[in-house]
Amino acid sequence: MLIMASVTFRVEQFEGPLDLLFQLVEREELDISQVSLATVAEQFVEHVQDNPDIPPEDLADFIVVAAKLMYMKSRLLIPSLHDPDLEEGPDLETQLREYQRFVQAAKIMDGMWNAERRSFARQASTTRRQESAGFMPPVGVTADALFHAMKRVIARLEPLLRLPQASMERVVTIHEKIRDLYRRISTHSTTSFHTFLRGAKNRSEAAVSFLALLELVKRRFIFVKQKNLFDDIDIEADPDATGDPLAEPTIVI
Amino acid sequence: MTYATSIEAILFASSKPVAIKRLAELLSIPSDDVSAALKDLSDALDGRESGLVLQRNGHEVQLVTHPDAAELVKQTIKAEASGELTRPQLEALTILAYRGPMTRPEVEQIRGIQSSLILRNLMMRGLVEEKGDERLGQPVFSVSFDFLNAIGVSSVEDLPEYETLRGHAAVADVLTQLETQATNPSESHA
Repeated sequence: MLIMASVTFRVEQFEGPLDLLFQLVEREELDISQVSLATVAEQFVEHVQDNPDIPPEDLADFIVVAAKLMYMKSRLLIPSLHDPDLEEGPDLETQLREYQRFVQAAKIMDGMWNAERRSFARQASTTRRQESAGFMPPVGVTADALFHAMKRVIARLEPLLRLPQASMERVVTIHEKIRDLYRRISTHSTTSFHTFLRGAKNRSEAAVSFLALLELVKRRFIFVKQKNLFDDIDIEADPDATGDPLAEPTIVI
Repeated sequence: MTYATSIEAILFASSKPVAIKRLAELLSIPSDDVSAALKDLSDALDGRESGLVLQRNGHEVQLVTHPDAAELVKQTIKAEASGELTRPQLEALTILAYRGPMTRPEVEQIRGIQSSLILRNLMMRGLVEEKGDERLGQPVFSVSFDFLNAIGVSSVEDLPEYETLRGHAAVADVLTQLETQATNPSESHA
């Protein structure tokens, strides 16, 4: 078996998941495409895992991109694999191209900002400003108006809270599934895919379980055997596997 | 006196941006005529190499000093330097300048990362402002006159490759997908 370890590039500083992804693709001297993104998928995951500086509030955004990369890579291996839940949201390739355009525009903006070739507006007169800072509601403010304003504020918060949660659920599951499956294999040495799937609560979780299986096969932590088409898949631990599948992604291209 | 010169006088006298609607009221003419007069005023200022520039941001206009006079004016009014911008701030400002007004999730969709702190910092520095209107139940943000002043342009449309970056189909795509995502959960609650 021919295993070629690719050169792993370290990126010292990155501002967000798209910035990291963009830098990885650039260092490999690749154009932005499905294939190039799949090529740097492991490096991306590795960077996220090894980087303690990523603030917890940003981590979810990194994991969303990591999950999209893993799915993208799985789809290149198995073109028939298709899960509408995992394909929701904008396509990563398009998103990255767009991001790249704005990164370039931001560089030009930086030059304009630092040129100090600026305009000035007339300065507002400070003498007319109201001296006292008491509570002076505008004309027409009633308790009812305040109540409706508060309702609008609460309604506005709701979609914010709901949107990221969907991505989080999806992503945490991929990580959990890898851990779950590998734990089973480590303790029992064999299991079957049906047994593993039994724990899945819905379609999306079943798809994620399959992705986790693929990921472990690819990283050579497990072997799979299927006697006939549509038979159950037997899963066995790879006796040569070492380390933690979540902490040590191997780079195999 | 033409509408253009009347507007010049009004803008000179006010120390803050004036809404086009307000100019229409003051002059008792339709907003479209105000827009035409603003174009005349802008051309006239350029034509006579005025030290002033007509600046436009959304539905508001103001008269500001010409960027070429920056050094002199700075000394006159003892202005402080604009200060540094971090890379994420610069990125968010660029996106808002080209694509604004837009909601926070829309900015985040393009940057790929949550941007609430950055937007708040930019608002505190007066470079970004929250507009009254909402889209999908979210407030919309845009760059401020202070930002236009800092980079010395008379409107965002003067930015390099404005049409390309603003109208790019892929951005529209991303934003449409976002709208679909945002609309669906609320439908199930309706």
